Amino acid sequence: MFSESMFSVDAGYLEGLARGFKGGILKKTDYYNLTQCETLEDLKLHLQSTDYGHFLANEAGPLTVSVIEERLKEKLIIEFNHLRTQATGYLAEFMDYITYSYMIDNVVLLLSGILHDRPIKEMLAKCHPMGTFEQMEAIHIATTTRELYDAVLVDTPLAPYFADCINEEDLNEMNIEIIRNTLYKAYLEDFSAFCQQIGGTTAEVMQEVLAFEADRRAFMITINSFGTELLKEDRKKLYPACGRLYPGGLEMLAQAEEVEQVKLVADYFAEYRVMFEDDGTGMDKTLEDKFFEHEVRLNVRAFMQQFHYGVFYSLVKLKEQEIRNIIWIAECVSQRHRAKIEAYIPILE
Amino acid sequence: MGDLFRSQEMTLCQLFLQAEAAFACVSELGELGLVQFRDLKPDTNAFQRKFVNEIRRCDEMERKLRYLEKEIKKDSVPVLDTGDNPEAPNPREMVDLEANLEKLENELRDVNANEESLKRNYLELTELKHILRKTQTFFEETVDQHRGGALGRALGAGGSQRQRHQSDERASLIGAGGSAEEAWPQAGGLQLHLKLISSCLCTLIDLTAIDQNPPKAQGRVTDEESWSNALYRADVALTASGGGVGGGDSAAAEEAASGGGRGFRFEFLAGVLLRERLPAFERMLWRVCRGNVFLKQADIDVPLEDPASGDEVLKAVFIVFFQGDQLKSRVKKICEGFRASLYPCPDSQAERREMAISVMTRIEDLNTVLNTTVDHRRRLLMSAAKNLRLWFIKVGKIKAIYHTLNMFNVEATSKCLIGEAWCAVDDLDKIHLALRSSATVPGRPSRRGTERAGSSVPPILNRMTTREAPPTYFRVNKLTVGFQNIIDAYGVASYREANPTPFAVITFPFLFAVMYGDFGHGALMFLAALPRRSGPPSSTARYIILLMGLFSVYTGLIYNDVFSHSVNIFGSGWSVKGQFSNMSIDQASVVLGVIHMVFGVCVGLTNHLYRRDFLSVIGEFVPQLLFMMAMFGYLVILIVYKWIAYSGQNSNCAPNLL
Repeated sequence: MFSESMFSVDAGYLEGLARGFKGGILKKTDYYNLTQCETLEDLKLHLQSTDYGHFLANEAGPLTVSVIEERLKEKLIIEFNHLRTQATGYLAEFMDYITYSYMIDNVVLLLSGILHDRPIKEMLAKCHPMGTFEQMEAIHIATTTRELYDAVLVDTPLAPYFADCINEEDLNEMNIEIIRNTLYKAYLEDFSAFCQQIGGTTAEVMQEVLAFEADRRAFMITINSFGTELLKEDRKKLYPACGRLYPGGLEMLAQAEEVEQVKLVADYFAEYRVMFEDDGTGMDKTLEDKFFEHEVRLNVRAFMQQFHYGVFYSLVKLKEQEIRNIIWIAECVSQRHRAKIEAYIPILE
Repeated sequence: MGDLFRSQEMTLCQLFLQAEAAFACVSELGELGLVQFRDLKPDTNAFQRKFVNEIRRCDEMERKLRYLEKEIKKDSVPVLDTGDNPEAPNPREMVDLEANLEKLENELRDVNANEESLKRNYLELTELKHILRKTQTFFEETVDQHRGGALGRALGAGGSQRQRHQSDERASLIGAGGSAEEAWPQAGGLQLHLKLISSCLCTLIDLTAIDQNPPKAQGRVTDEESWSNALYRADVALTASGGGVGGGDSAAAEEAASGGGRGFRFEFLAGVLLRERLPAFERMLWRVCRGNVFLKQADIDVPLEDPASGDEVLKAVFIVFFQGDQLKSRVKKICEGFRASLYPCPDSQAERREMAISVMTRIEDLNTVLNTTVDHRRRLLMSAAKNLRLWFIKVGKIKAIYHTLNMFNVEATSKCLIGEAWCAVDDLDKIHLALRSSATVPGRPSRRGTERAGSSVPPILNRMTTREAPPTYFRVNKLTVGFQNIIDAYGVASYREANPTPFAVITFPFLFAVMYGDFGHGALMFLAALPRRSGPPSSTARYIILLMGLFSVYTGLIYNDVFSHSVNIFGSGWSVKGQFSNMSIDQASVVLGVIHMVFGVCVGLTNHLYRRDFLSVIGEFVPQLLFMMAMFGYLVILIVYKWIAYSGQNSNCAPNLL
């Protein structure tokens, strides 16, 4: 209890800022207006009246979806860095943890680019700006995971997660995915342990959020591995252990061979059962969509409590979802394929 | 000031404008600044309005203007500000303005692109120049170290023959490249190179002789150890490949030095890298190449200009020595990864000198071209800077006019625009005049010219009755605007309510002065706020501060306070000598405060009377006054009585008031 009363000393201003940013997240009326747009110029005009302001004002030449996406991400980065540079102590470390997941994505993206012989500059342009690290550009010297570790990753914060991945095999398609999931598993478990160490409301809120993330990954890994040559034992090694499915659910998932069996596992947990069922509204939502919706719900709930670091994590996730929404709508508008334009995930009322 | 006591009488008007005349009419009304338009279509989105394309064009023009402004600021070209306020150009001229701006922007972008590529070339040549210079230093350094005779010791076998060798080598090294070629006829620059390498390595081995640790296993190794390990391995390679240079006679040494027979060649890559990336670069080199390369670096003292951003960055020159093709490709990849620029550096001293000379000439040529480009750009910007401010104003006005027109309703036959606006009743004549002149005067020499002659129907302005509450509009001038702002900060008065501002003009500075009360500081305030003839238009607060200063001077004299010192200017006004506890100032402020409050309640009374709200008079005003007088009025009476009844002598026995 006392820790919460001292929370505002170091992090009060930043929490205020974060809630301010959250207040600027697009509402239902904004999305309604966006879906009415005929061209990307209209989209830009409407976004001018939101918190995004004139972020596209200085773009010369015709607007494309990729330009919009770049600028949206840039705005998120600027806001995140503004918060990060003023953070101290546990909060600084917490915010660094948030960036590690993007680093993992970037590493895997670059590796797969090397595999397909893409020029390094093109791959670098596609990397997520929140996950950059110094040695990123030199990643193409690596041909085995051991080299990757020794040369590039050993100085990055991802080094401890790599311990399970090192072997002498050459990098190929399958391996890269396994690397991604192994890294992510180690990262999630580490992050969860760190939040438990912080304790208090942060631990409570983050526990819920990270548990869902872990379970969701377990489900997706299982379902995506049907029909591939991934063995069950290998699959089991990729499940993060910090979710609600641990340990019993993960055991059952490891044995599953088809979607029905996965559904059986999900039936044990009320929220997950709902997601696997047909929700009868007739709308064609995929499982991923339902996962996204649940994630948004959890993240919005995080803002209901005060004096914890979870708001920063949730802010980043919600902004990301918003960017995905806007880009979805922008794509529909620019391709004039308005059938599924309503398939974005609403965030706030 | 009587005008300021209540807000102006407002009326809602309906405006019928012909489509062709609409722009000019709204422009004229805008210049007048006397109407406030209502949005007749509040539910439509921004991009569904009628004039959205024109607004987009204005946005595009503003973007170009901002780009021009940014470039002008970058070059610190002064922007001309004549204080002119041009009117909005008509739509035909807008097209001309657009074309003009487009042309300017394109020209500027071209010049910038040219300049950037020239600067890039210049940067490359400069970096090459630095490399050539620094590599010379590298090689000279090793000559000095070599003089220490380390070569002999490190290589084990001693002997006078070796000594002779040393002196030969020394001589050859000192004597630039030429004599080396004489001494070893088969050799080329590479020979020299090998000597350098081996001498460098050996010297360093000698220097780190204490550190004879065998190479550690993979894992965390400190940088300190890394160098000795690197060299150890290199030395092992050196000696392993045929006794190295540690043979006994010149022939063997020569053979080893030629290296041809044993595939024993050292190569190097020279380049330039940002200083801040050097440590990570070194680390990665060591890790990836397992310590089999040798890096030498030197800082470039002068900061170089990055062509893309224009920032000055600090860079450093580095040379990497390695052996074999595999290492070469690895080193190249790492250099690429760290965005180091690699340059071909010739082996021999003579070639390097030649290259340095040609680089210098090319740099000079490039400099002249660069200067011409920069001049051209500056001339472009200066001509743009003359009109920049005017353009901004014009485009801003056009945009505002179209925003306003978006608030109109379009008549079904789309020949007529209908709008609604609030305006003050007193201003109706001026507005009528403006509308007529903008629409029908044919021969005006300004932009309105021939367009207007075509319109047959003059714009119509009708008064409308409505039940809505009109907006509150005060006619303020320079003096009252500041005070009105302060009063508005507490809450904007509703329509035709009594306005505290006319009273605040005096009471606010007065109350300030009662608290401030210093002649000196007050005089300073007054002087600071005086209107200056040559200064730019002042802020709205000027007259507030002026009055506050003036009143403070007055109270300062009363308080006998100058710059926080007491002065006796007027002598004592008191006829009684001797101390007595005097709380008059506090008591006086209480009296003043109560008078103010009663005054405020009475002003409220005028509001009730204006609205003929007699219930409020009985229900609000009377109880307020009663309550106030009963408590504070009594207090005031006591204070005044105490002042009068008790003189200086018997004030000690006066009863306390509270």
